[in-house]
Amino acid sequence: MLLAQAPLHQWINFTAFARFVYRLNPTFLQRRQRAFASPHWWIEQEEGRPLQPTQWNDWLRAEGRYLARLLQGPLYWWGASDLALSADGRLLAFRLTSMAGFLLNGLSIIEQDRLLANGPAEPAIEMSEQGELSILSSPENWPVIELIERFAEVQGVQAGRLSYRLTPKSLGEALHRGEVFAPLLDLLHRVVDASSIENSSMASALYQLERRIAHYGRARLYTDVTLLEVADTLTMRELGATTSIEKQIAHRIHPTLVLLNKQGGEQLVEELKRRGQTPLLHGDE
Amino acid sequence: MDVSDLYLLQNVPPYHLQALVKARHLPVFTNPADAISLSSLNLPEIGEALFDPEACQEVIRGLGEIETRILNELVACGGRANSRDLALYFTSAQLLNTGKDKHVGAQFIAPSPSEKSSDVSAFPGTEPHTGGTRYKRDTPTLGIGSLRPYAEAAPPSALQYPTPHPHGVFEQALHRLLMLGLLFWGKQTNFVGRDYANGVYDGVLIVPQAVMDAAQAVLRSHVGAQFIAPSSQADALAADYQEDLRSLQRSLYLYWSLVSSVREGLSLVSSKLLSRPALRQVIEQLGPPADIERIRTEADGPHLLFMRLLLMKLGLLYERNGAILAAPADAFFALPLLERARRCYRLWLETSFWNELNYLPGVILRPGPGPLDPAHPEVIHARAMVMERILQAQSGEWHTLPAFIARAKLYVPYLLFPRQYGARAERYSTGSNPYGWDFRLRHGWLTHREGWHLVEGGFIRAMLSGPLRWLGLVELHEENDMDAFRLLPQSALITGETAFDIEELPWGKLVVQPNFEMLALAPVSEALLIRLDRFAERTRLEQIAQYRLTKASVTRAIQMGMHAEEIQQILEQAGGGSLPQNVCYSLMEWERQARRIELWPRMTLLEVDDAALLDELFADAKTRPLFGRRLAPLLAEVVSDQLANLQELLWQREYLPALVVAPVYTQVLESGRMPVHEPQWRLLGDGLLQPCYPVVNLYLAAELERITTYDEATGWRRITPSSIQRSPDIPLEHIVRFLQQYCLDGVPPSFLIRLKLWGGGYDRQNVISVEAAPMLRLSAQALHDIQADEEVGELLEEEVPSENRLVRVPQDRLARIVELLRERGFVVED
Repeated sequence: MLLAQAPLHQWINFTAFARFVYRLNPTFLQRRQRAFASPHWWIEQEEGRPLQPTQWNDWLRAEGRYLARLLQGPLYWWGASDLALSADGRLLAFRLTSMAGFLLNGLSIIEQDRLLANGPAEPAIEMSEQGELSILSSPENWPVIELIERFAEVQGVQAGRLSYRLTPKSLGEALHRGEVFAPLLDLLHRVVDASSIENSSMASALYQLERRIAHYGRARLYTDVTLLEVADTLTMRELGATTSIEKQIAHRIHPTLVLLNKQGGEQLVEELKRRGQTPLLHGDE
Repeated sequence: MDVSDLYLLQNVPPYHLQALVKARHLPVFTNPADAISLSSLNLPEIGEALFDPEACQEVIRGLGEIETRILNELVACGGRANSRDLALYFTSAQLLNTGKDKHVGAQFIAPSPSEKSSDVSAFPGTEPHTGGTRYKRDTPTLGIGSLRPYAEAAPPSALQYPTPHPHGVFEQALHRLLMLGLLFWGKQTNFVGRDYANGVYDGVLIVPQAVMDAAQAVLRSHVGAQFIAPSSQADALAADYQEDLRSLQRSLYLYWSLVSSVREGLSLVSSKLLSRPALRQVIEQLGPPADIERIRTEADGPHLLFMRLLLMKLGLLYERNGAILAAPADAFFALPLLERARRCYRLWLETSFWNELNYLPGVILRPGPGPLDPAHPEVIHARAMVMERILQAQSGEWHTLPAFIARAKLYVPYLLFPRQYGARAERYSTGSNPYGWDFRLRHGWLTHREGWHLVEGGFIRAMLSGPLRWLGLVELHEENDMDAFRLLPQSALITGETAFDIEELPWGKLVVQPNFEMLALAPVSEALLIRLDRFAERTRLEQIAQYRLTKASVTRAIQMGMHAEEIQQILEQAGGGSLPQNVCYSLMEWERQARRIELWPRMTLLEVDDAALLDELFADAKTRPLFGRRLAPLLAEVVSDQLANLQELLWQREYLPALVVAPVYTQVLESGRMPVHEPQWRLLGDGLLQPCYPVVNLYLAAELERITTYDEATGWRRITPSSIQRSPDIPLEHIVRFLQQYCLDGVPPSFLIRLKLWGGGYDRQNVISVEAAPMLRLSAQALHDIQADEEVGELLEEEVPSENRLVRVPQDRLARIVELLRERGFVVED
């Protein structure tokens, strides 16, 4: 039971927790039923549209809702969970109480206090030279998992450990969102420091990661760009006089080669077509 | 003597042993007194005499025609077969007749007298050149018949095992073979209390190993090499048989060409079959219009489905976003004809894209496979076994399907249903076959015996009437409800592994006329058609192909990345000479006009901080294909589908490339719609914008330029009063939000004051007055009353307007505050 593994007395973001459960055991509710070609029962969103527990959005509609109900209903009534709800009553976060420790793990208050006093252990993370991170899915790693999921690509579960990969895409997206790398690097430094001396591959992987992050912004890729080129400057002047091109130019590369705003490209084509001057529109192949 | 032969003798009743000894005139036991000693069963001695190679060969040579055929068939199928299955084959293949009409491959076709050979016909197991009609060039083209669901087109004839009769020709022949010790019944055959040598039983017939060896030795001495020599195979292909191979390749080309001409591809429905409109397009291109109404889904037209799946397997078509799209096909169609045919054949034979079990005539499968479900490995294995049988058949002769299927049962009895999956008799039930399906008739269950001819036999029919016909390996007899087939001569070449040095017929030339018409003369190569399709309009395609060059078609080609020079080169190469002058001129002029204004939407660009990096990437042959043009020293085009590879490449070089999607909304500052993005600058107190990265987002930089000026000292941008006032259309609020969002740590408060003053952010009230103390603080009502008081009112001065704010300032700091406020841009009145 994954809920029993969640840390006590700690506020947990419900969406993140749900994703955690989805990753580890998406079919916890329907179990083997999904393996059958003709299951005995299933959940439908509407008539003839069965929900697929392996699809995140479908899973949220059935299993995710069940989890929320469990926390907001029985566990809350028994005093096993504290809740943080949005204005419209949606579950935002929850905190398991001592009662949950007792009900779910059979821990007495004294035992729970002793466990709390021991403090969280250093999270057991392994990092390969290729930037793959492997984390034990245990309650004390829960905040770390949340942190890593902000920067890394999910790679599934391998040998009971959550697997992630730091890729240019995932790191670039994190930076694009305005995420700050310091907590991640700090965590990885702590892991490297805590690991044995012979584990130098982790140290070198971390060093490489830091260099890459330091080099962020030295190269920039632009997608979905609209490029306009004309035969000569005379044609460009003509376009300037007869169309709205000047307003659409985002960047001039050469006098005859410019970057247009996205809508600007479409508008220019329309204007030229109206004037009977169909531009050569290149395909995206 | 083989131990198994001795074992056979041990299971023979003593009276039959005596009969054997007599019939074979074994010298040791010819004395009647010795007959008693047989009861002591001196089997090894009897066996030695009975299975003596020389003696066996002599007996075999003395056999009658029917006995010889039976014995040789048994030897060919491994020495064991069920007696009734053997009887069925001999009856259905009409092998029990003797004389002139013996061994007729197909009843409906009279054999040519010149093709009979008395020597060879004595050994039917060798499949001599008797019966049937020699191959004649009358292969029907794939038309309506080929589009018909072939499972329905080949209904199995009613199965009738011949009734065993003690005086029947087959049974009598068996009797003689049993009597001569050339044949034995299997251990499980029930003949207790009856005559062992009777040929009417339903049981397994076994040929002793010694007899097998002797029969093969006799065969070898009679039959010369009957195979077709490689040179004659090569000759066969070099002749007009190439037409059959071309037919398939032409169909593949037409299908591919249709898909490539539809920009958004052929749409699929949720079952992954073609949608109805897409299917109509395919039928219009490949089949007669009459089929449009009959074929409602792709599953109704197996030939078309097979073509699509084969093209996908060849990598010439692919699925993306619920549509079938065309991949480059030049390389495939440029291959020699035979190589292409072989690839198609191998893909069908060895992969799972086609499932013949979907097309068993008259058999219902529950739950059964879907039309696109891949074939089970056992199906692929069974396919190979059947192909082995088919290729044993004499090329060019007609073979009836019932006889072929009956014979196949003798050779591959466990076809489709290996014994490890369950009891043989229950193989058509779920749980006893590898497929987990029930195989049954529409109204009842299949029996063990008839089932073979409907399920396994249906599988063979499905192979012959489907893929093998479509691939140009066999021909079906159209006039006899497709119940006979013949191997086409090129089948040996297609199915073989040998690399023949075959010279293909030269492709026809291309004639380009001054009126822009082009004629590709027969035989037309598909590779040329593909090239012409790119820049010309096809007007006709039969034996010859007719195209027309137009401004629109050339412009379309240029749009796809071609150049007029390249088009000219292709045409000159295909035509073997120079083009008419007006055609050359028009090509150049059309290109010039087309390229006057060029627009590339959805491009991917790479911007770097160091030109040396791009120099290096463009110079390296491995990384060059990732890029298109180099637009500027620091800016290059990236091939669209290489983005991930380029990201990985830069990652390997310790770069973390930033990824920017071109903003959907233009005029960010006017609209106030700011896309999410990481900060690009740090705004300093003096209005200078220090870039956070060597390469900043050029879209944001372009916006920034509208509210800043270039600072020559630093090379950065700077916000000045004039730069802010230059764009009165941009609201100050948007400027502030832009700077807050894209500047690290936002806007310094001191600079925010200046910014607001420059932008008229204080409602143009930039004057601050220093009020002299003392002042009274009291309620509005009290102030109203004391202002009316005739004594107090006269002592008060002007009231501070209520819309202004007052703040206390210590006297000793006043001068400094006034100085700073003036520095910020306020006018301070003492």
